[in-house]
Amino acid sequence: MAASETLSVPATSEGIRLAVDAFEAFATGQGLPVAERWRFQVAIDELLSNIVRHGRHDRTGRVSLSFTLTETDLTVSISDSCDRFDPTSWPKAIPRAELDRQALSGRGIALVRALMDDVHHEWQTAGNDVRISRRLRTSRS
Amino acid sequence: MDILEYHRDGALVIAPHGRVDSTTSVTLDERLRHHLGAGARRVVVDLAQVDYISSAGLRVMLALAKRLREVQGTLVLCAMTEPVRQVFELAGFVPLFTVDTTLDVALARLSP
Repeated sequence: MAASETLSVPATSEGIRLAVDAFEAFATGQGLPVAERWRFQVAIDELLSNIVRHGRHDRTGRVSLSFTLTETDLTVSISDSCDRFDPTSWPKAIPRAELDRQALSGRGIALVRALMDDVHHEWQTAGNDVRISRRLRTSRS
Repeated sequence: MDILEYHRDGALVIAPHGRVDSTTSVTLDERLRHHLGAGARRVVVDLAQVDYISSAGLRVMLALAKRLREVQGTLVLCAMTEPVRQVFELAGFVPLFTVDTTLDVALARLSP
């Protein structure tokens, strides 16, 4: 049976924590195993922190999320009111380098793409809609 | 996230508990900077109680490794949970760090 939840959080560090907590409560309530859950928690953290840090011209100061769980798939949609940002335009691979040549940042979006089966972006007139999804590999309890 | 901090066998052990992500990694980074500023040079990060780590947490581990290298210090990570191990592998970080399976092994490696 499908289950879904929608919420809105402020585009702040506290909003990120609220969103990750809300997802954890949703996933736990639906019996989603930890092995599936953490991937989405990382992805939500990456995408929201990207909005908070880099989302210029934020029009509302809020981010909307929806979680949709079916028998086979989990999808999280994230909508903002920022300038266009398409995560699918970023490379999937994280560059390898020795320690001294490693940049401190710039891995978040590639990590999202590696953790998810699908990342989809749509530009709306008022902002970005990003949808991340994954086919569930482990059964729900 | 809570952070357990203690000294054992001459090494500083830092053991974060919970999520190491964009909202918690700042605190972890502050604590590590504090200890390095106070002279810590042999450091173990015990990851046994970490739910998962995001790129913000990877950044903290990378910065710690770079700082310790600059002062001829030593860093060992240990007891990675499965989500942490997978993120390290996806990021290509495993070859950059010394990673031990348990805290005891990590401390033995660092013993003078």
